[in-house]
Amino acid sequence: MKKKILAAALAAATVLSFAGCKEETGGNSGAGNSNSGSGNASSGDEGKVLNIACWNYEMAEWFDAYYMDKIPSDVTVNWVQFPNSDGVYQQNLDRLLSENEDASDDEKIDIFLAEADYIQKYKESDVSLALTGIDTSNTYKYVIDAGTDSSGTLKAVSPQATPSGMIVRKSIAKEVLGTDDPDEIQSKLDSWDKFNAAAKDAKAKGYLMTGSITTLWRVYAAGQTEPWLDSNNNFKPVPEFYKWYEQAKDFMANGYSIADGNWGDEVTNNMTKDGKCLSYIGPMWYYAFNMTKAFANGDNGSSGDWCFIEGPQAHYWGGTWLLAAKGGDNPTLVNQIMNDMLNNEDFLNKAADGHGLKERSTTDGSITSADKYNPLFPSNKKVADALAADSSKGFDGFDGQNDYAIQAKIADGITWAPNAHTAFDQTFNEGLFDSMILQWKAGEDGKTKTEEQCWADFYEKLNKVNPTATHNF
Amino acid sequence: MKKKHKLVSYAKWGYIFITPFFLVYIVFSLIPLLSTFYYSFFDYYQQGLDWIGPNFVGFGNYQKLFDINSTLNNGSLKILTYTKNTMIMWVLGAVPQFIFSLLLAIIFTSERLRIKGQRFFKTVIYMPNLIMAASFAMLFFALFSNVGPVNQMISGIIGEEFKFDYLANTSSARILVATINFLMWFGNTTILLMAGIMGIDQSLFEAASIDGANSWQVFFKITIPLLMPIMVYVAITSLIGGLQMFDVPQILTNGGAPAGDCETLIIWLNGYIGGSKNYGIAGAMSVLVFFITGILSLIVYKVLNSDPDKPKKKKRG
Repeated sequence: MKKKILAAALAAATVLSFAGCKEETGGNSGAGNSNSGSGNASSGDEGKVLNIACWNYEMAEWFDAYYMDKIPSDVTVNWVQFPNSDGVYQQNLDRLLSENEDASDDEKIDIFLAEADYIQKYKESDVSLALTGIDTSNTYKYVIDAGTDSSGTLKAVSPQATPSGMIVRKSIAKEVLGTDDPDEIQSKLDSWDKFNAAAKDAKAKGYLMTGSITTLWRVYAAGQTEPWLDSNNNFKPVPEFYKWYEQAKDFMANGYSIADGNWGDEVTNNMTKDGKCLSYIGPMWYYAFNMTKAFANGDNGSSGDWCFIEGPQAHYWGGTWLLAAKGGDNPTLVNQIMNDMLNNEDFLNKAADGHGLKERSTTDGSITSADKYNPLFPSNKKVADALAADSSKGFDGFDGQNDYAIQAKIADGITWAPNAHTAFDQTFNEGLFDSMILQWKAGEDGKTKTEEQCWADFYEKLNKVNPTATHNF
Repeated sequence: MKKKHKLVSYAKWGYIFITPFFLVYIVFSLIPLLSTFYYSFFDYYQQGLDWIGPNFVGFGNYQKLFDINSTLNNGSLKILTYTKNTMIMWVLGAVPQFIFSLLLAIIFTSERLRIKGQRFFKTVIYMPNLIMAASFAMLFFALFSNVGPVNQMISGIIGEEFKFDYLANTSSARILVATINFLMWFGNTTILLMAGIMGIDQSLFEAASIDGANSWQVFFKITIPLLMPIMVYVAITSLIGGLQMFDVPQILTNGGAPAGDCETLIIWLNGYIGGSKNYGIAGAMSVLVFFITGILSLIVYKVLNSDPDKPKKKKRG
């Protein structure tokens, strides 16, 4: 008898382990969130689970705090997250989208998020649906251009615009530039010549001009008018790359910057009290994500010692667009969300304020009790202009400065060059620069790579994502 | 009237009992193996969201792997680099492992020592193998991180701040990978070798001691030669495992840092599966790994199985 029970148990275990092979929808499916508010979309015969694919929980946290009351009470919102680095998010997203029409109703992806670096890939493909009936009249033009495909169809929208500038340490600016007034600092840093001259002065006084040398690329990238790959799938560095490269070589030879990528430890450590960096480069999401912790770091914090300026060249960096996935089963609700992302002033104003957020755990997406501050710069020009005009607004830690006003000014001037983008831009804008930095960043045994080895390192990355790409230039 | 002979075929039951194994093997091993060979002759990958192929290209993928100027190699033969990395880390772990395991196996099986609590020791040395390689790698990653307990402990002992980045240094990173593999597998090897030693006829040892042989002579003239079949088995399985090394270096060194010096053949291959689902190139790489494994196993087999005492046949004049 015992043996029979054992045999049955083993058989059951085998069957169960096979059943376990069935692919699941997500890596870290965030804890579902029913809400109790009153919804306004009719969802009679639509799905009861809204799945949103994402690479971090930034959008999820804004949804949790400011948008759940606008979703019908019987719909559960589920965030399906994969990490962004090394293209992991895209690999998993591609798989899910290709299986989306056959997935069970509760596992169908309804909305997926895409970054500026790979929106090209998804908006030109039929895995994303055309968005119709969306009011785009109040939105910054570049946000709409980025979401529009080559045939002129709107495919993606974003509640966020990402005008980027310089975050300047006022106490160091006072020493190096002789002033800590944001407008005066801007007048001393409004061209690359002045920027480079300031770098020399900063070095002479024992400071660094800027955090990461790779972040500087983002300033040039926004001015890119040609794609990295030509029509024959041949890679050729864009003219802006060489501008960056000359400056990077100069900066590293003279020790004006830290030899590390955007998120290096030494880069972020210099944001705290004893930090030596005069400036960082980035949009609101960068300092909200990266600097708030350093600002409010107890005795080691640096809150109030910073201001935001336009810097030498107006640009944008990043951005999160929402696309409707083919095969999703909540079309009405998706359409409501897409429109609200651009036009719901209640949501946009609350998100722009950024207080009262609850942090989501990065491991499983569950909502923790920790409070989080993360303001969004709205893509809606009307909302942004109202914030810019209100002197009581401004980022915590900027000591009363209204940074929305500067962001709004930069956002007005941003253009999206429709032909400058490829489906592989993440490999170029991150991969290439992570490779290039290896000639200054000591790796194994304290050694750095030669320029040639850096290129070889990058070509291997390119070959992995785009096997037929050549590189003759 | 003929009497009917009724033969009872027990063989039938034998076949029925081994069928499940063959079914599972065919579905999960043989078919994937053959399709790997098949796709290695095709261009078959994803570019962006579009699938390209399968288009037959003959030996095109193999050519790319061995053409030093192809977009895959860019100036240095990657397959040599990664085979070298893999073999260095395998040898660093496997050689000490064999020596240590052999020593333990001899101690545990020695009639003279008669160690007490053998079961306990055998369980303990086997334990590391029960832990997932990934957890092991994460543990070492934490222990040997820049500000990890190991550096802190050394700082405490020498009384000043000690900072060494174990994972940014080629030799130390490779040694750590080898150490994890050593710790995970020496118990398993010890138990295999013990089984081998215990399988040797005890009367041979008795006869040797009657003849006055000392321990060294017993070891080299009896234990080692009679243990050879097991040694060959251990060496070859370890080699196969070593060539497929993936999880430990992938997690410990985040995919082969520093500068790709801990990148193994399989980590390399995995990069092509992840990015563009390049079944053609990855297939060709797998086939090469298959042949490298086959050739090296054959060499190990020949070297360990050759009998130096065997008189060479003289040619008849």
